[in-house]
Amino acid sequence: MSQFDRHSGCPFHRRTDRSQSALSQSDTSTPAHRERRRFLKGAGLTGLGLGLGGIGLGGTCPARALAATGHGQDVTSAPQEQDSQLRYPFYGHHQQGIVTPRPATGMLVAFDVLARDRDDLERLLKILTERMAFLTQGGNIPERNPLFPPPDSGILGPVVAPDGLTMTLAVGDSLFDQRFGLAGARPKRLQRMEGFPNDALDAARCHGDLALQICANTLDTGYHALRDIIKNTPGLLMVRWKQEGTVPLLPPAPGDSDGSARNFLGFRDGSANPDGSDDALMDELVWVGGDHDEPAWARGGSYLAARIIRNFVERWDRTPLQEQEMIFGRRKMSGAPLSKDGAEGKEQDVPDYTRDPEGEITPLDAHIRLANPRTLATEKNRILRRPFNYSNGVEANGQLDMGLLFLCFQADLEAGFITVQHRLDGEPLEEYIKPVGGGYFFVLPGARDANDFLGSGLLAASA
Amino acid sequence: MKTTRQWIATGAFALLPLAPFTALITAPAAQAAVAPEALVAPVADYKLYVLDNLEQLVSHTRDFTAAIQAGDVEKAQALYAPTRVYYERIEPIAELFADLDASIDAREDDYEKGVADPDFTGFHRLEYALFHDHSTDGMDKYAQGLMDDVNDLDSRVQGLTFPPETVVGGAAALMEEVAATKVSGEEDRYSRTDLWDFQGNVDGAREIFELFKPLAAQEDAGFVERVQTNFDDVEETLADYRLDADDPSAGFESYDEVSDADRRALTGPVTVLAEDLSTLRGLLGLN
Amino acid sequence: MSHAASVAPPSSRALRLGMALSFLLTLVALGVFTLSLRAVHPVGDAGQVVEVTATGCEPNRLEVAAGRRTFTVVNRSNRAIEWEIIDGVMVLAERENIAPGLRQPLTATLQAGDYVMTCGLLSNPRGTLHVLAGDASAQPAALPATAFVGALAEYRVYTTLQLRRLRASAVELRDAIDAGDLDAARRAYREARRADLHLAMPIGLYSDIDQRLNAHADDFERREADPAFVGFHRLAYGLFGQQDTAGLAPIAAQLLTDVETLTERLKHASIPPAQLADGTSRVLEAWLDHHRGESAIAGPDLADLVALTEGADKIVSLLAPLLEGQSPATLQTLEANLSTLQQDLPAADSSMPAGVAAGGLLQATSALADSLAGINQTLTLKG
Repeated sequence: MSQFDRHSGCPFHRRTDRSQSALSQSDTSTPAHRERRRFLKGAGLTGLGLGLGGIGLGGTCPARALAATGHGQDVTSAPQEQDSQLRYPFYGHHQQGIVTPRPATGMLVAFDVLARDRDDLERLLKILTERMAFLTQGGNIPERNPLFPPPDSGILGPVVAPDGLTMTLAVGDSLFDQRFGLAGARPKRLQRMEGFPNDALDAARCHGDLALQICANTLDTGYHALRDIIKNTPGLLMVRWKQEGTVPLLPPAPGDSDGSARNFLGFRDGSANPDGSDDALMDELVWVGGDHDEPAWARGGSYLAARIIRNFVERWDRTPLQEQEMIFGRRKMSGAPLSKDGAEGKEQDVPDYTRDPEGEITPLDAHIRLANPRTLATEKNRILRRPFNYSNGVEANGQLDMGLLFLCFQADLEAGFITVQHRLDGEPLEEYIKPVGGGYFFVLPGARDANDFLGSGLLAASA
Repeated sequence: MKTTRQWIATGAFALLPLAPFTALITAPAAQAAVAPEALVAPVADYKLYVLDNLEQLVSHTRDFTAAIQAGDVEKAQALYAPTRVYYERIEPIAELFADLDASIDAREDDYEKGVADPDFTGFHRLEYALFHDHSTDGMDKYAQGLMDDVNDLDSRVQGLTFPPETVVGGAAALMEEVAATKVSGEEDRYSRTDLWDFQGNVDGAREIFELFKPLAAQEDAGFVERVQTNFDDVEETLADYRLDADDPSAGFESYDEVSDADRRALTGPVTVLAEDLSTLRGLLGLN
Repeated sequence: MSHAASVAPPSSRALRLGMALSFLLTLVALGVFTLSLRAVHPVGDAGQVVEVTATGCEPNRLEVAAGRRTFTVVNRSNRAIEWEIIDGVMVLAERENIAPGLRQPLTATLQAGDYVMTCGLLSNPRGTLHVLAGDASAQPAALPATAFVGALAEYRVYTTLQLRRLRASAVELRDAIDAGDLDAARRAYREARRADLHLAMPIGLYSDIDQRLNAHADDFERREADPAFVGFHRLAYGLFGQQDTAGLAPIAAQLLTDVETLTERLKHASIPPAQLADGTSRVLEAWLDHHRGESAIAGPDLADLVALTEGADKIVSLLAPLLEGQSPATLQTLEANLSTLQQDLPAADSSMPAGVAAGGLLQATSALADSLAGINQTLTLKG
């Protein structure tokens, strides 16, 4: 794969092209426009890619500054398209799949590492890196004598399209036990997830030595990637649990700025998420840097808190709308914060709690108020959410087993998710939700280039 | 003249030793695949292995079912796992007979009504009686049924021409069996004797591998070495749970005793074996 | 020709020559076998050309020989067409969506009979396809080499199990003779002889062992008194003719040694697939050679034929699945011949009558031997 192929995948090229095309949003659905955009994207491939190769390696998409067009830049904006040729760069200072716009599907797979020593672990990390690099960029699957099992599951056909696939590798606390001699290099805040008061954790769906976040336009692309990983790592990895989810596609509506996708409780989820395209903000809140009191190797990484949160949807659907809105602190349809006179606002409106100290407008225990009190002191507790809705079938009592695969990223796990979740302990929403699984992981810094592999810094630092 | 043919037949068809014959066949072909004729001896040896195990299965089943019919719970419990081992070893062949495989080795999950299902018979029905109910009450007919089925299996296998693909593919099938139901410990959920079955599957897979090893080695020496190492790893871990290191017949500790770390340690080589052995058929040029 | 003129036992020189010759023949046989395994049916040329016009097929009536036939369908009409061969209401073979001006090949295996061809538009008249029987080139397609692995392996299992039985009864026989127990020796002899004849085909592949185990007294210059006369017939002469175990100990010991040598050789040998049928036919013929023209078959010889037929039964059961695919009619004949012979014979485990009329038995044996001899052509094997 040449360098500019990689860079052509930068999502912000796409955005740039789109804004440069100066077409109105209502035009985006016309075939002519799609053609044109595809053409422009191809042009970016040759025109921009050559000149910007070096910059891209640093993980900074060249067009990032231009992305703030007020359209679709939020990580949790509802996905709008399913371009199978959409390709995100794999190599860089940070891994992909964190500030990358959330596509329509995502899954988290936790693994036990079966590797028996450091050499095996290194081999595993190299294989993972190599496969992830291939899968996220796409290409032809290898052919093999038909007397043998095929090397690829074939579920995507002979050509693997990138399909917006991102794969993000993270390590769990248990990887730092005695097996691989990594204890000395453990990220300082990495820990085993402890149950919160409302949790009913199922051991079979918790923790893991490794976690792989796999996101793509379609679930098939994610399953293909997962099966490729399993096929290529026999004896090294064992799937511990997995949870996939989806986000509803939202066609862009004329005159409306992008809304966040809805969760299975019917509320927009992701409102007021920090802006993933704001590099400085991401460096402060999401990426581990020099100021974060972490081992040097960990810079460029991030903490991932994953939670499988069952929603009692039947019960929720039997709850009056007004009560639902009070529990969340937002209007259900618009996603706007509650207002004094019941006037309908916008999702992006910022609630002013200083003028509502008693919680007469937004109850003090409303979900959004507890999660983000919007005070100066709680600014540092903000997290980058990237959740997906899941549906797993039916419980023994006939109720639907559905809920939220909650994923969030932060530079400081304790200041981030753990603090936020403690604030939420006892919230009224708990009557309708039950966290049943998940875990804490540390997302490794990115692989610099094809000569590097994910986790190389960790191994070097603990050698 | 009556004596022109002096013996039963003329001697015009003396045989060449195997190796040169194989060479004769393969040399002009200039193809890497193993000569089909080279598969004959290992396939035959495998059937002999299966027949030996069936003979053991029949005689052990006789003792096991007799103990049940005599109402001797303790003795029947002790004989349960050592009897099943012979079935587990030859599963790739035994399961060719779907009706018998169901009546001999199906688990309660295979039936809509579970344990109460009248069609639930065989080893696991008896396991339920012996290890869950601690009783042989009403088990006479199941014991007799098992004995009849095992005898039936024996006679069917005697007359069976073993399909080479099934034999060679059997190694992978056994490891898939281990990977799917043995590591999880769901096979013998009442007796907790899963490790016996585990060992039986591994024995059966290894036998196939050993028989075809020389042929596989011609194609891919690294493959053979890898598979060997992984078999050794699995057996080494299993050996930790033997009740008596020097006496295999003493058997294994309960599967409950297997640590999480060891379950993981078993999963690794088992998965690699399943993955590697899945290529054995292709390696030997079989469909 | 009288028995007095019987040939001398083979000299060692003749034996060596025979061995060398047999080795050469084997090489030839193997070469042919190799070729036969490789034989790929030549890919046909265009075969029969059928042009489909706007109004129908040209020609509208085709005649081909039975077997695997290729047709080339040329679309001379101005719309896409399909072309089918129909047997009654069943489509046997078809080519769909042939674009105007294009040609498409179609290959089908056809049995003798009349078929219908569709010719473009449904309103067009249908053509007829007449398939003639009995063309030599209507041979079944060659079986792949792997097709025989199962049968050969199963035969190897059978051989191994029979060898185990043979050895076990040879040990019993030796021990009984050593102990002077005539009854036990006779019982062991019958068991051993039965296994020996089950193995007649593979034993026949080793002339030296075959001679030591199975040569008749007539084959030797001094007949029963000849010191070179050993093996089963020598033991039978002692146990049943002289009714005594005296002097048989070295012969029983030799028999056991020969069985062990045989076991060792077969362990390292591989039987060419063509031998399954041909070799079995040959051992039946060999038995017939000893009894042609006789009016009655004596008990021991009848027992021999029973055992040989059991061996043939095994071979038929091994070849049946292969024959079924190649030529069901051949299989049917073979099984019918086997069954006829079996019905004429006493059950294997019963005690043999002193003698039976030869006529029907000889005929049935000969029929089975003949049909076995013709099998390899059907199996596309050359012996």
